[in-house]
Amino acid sequence: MQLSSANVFAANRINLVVAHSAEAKPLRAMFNLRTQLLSRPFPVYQNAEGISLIVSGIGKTSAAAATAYLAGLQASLPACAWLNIGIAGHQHAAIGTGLLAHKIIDAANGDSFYPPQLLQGLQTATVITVAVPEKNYPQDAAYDMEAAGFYACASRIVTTELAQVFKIVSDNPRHTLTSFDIAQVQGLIEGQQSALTRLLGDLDALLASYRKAYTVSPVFEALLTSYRFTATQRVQLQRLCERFHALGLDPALFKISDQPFSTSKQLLLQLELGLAAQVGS
Amino acid sequence: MKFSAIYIEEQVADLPRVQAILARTAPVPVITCERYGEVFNRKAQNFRLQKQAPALILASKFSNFVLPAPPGYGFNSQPSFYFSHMLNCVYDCRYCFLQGMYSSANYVLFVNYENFGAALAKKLATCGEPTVFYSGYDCDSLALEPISRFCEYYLPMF
Repeated sequence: MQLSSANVFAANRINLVVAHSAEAKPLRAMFNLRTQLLSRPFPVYQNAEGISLIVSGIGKTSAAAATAYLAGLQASLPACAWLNIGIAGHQHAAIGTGLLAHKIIDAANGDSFYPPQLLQGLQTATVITVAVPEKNYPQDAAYDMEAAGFYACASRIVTTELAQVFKIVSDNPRHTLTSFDIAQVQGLIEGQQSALTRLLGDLDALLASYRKAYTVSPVFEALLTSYRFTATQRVQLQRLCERFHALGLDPALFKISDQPFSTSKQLLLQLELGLAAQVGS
Repeated sequence: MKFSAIYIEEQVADLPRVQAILARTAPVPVITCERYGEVFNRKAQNFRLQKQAPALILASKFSNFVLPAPPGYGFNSQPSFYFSHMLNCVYDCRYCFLQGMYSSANYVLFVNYENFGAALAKKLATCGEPTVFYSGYDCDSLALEPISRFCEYYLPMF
C-alpha cells in the first residue's frame, strides 16, 4: 500500500539510501524509523523527525532508481538532504573506519563526482563504484557498488552540498570479502553511531540554512491570491519577493504589500521602487 | 586561512608552487581532479552554502592570460589590461558582482604564474606609454596573498 506522500513525508529533512536490509536494520533502530511503504518497489521507513530511509538493493542502477523513487514520493515537498550509507572495501583503511566521500568515480565509465566538503571533522576518501565486488583494492580508495548511481541521481534532485556519501570499511586486503559475513554489518554501522548522528545533525543544519535562504515569502502566496498576474508577472513577483528576503527587507515587503493597488502592474512597480529605495538608502 | 578542501588538477600536482601552497595551508582533504571545471563549473551547486566553507582549487590556465580592460573601466586615458590569476574572492561583499558571477563559491588559483608572467612581459615590452594592468577583475588579488604569494612573483615585473 502506498500512502499519501504529503502526509507521510510532511516533515522530510534527510533521506538515507542504503543497499541492503542488513544496513537498514541498525539505522532503523538508531533513528527509530518505522515502516512507511512495504517492500515493492522499495521498502521505505521514516521517523517523526523527518528522516526517511529507502532500501535500494545492490548496485548503482538500483541505488539511482531508489533515489529517484523516493524523490518522486516527495516531489511536492521542499528539498531535503540525501545521504548514501553503506559498507565498502578499502585498500588500507581499518575495518570499521567511517569515510565521507570527497570524490566518487564510476569505474564503468570514468565519470567523477565531487561532493562539496562542507561537513567537517570526518575522515574522507575517494569512493570507486564497481559493478562486482572488488577483491584486489588497486587504488587508495574505498570500493562500493552504489555511490556513483546514487550521486548521479541525487545531484539532479538537490544541490550537491546536500547530497553526501558515507561508507564504513567492511573489508580490506587483510580481511577480505571471502571472510566477510553479512551479520557483521550491524556491528560496523553501530560502531559509527556517533559519527552518523553528528553527520545527520550537520546535514540538517546545512539544510536549514538552505531552506532559510530559498523559502519563498508567504507574502508571495498571499499576493497571488489578491491580484491577477500573467505568467511573466508571476515570475517577476517571485523574484522581487526573493530579493526583499535576501536583503533582509521583509518588513519593507510586508509594508508595500499591505497597500491597495488597482492592478498587479502597479504593485510590481511599487515593489521595484521600494526595493531600489531600500538598496539605495 | 583554512579551506574546506583543496582540489588539485593532476597536471599541476607536482609543481613546486603547489607543494609550497599545500605546506602553507591547514590539513584538509586534498582531492585530485582532471580539470578544475569538473568541480568549479558543475551544475547543482549552491553559492551561498559553499560560501560557508569554500574550497581552494589549484589549476592551470591555458590561454587569455592578459586581456584588454573593458571599455568604461576607468582607465580610458591610457592603455589598460587585466589578468585573472584567480577566480572568486575570500570576502563576501553584498555589492560585488562576484556574488553571482560563478556557480561555485570555491576559489580557483591558477598556479602557472610563469605563463601569466610571459604574457605580461610581452605586453609590457610592446607598450610604449604608461599602461595600467589590473589584477583583481575576477578576484581580490591581495586577499589570498598569504597562500598565493601573488605579490612576491608579480610585483617585480612592474
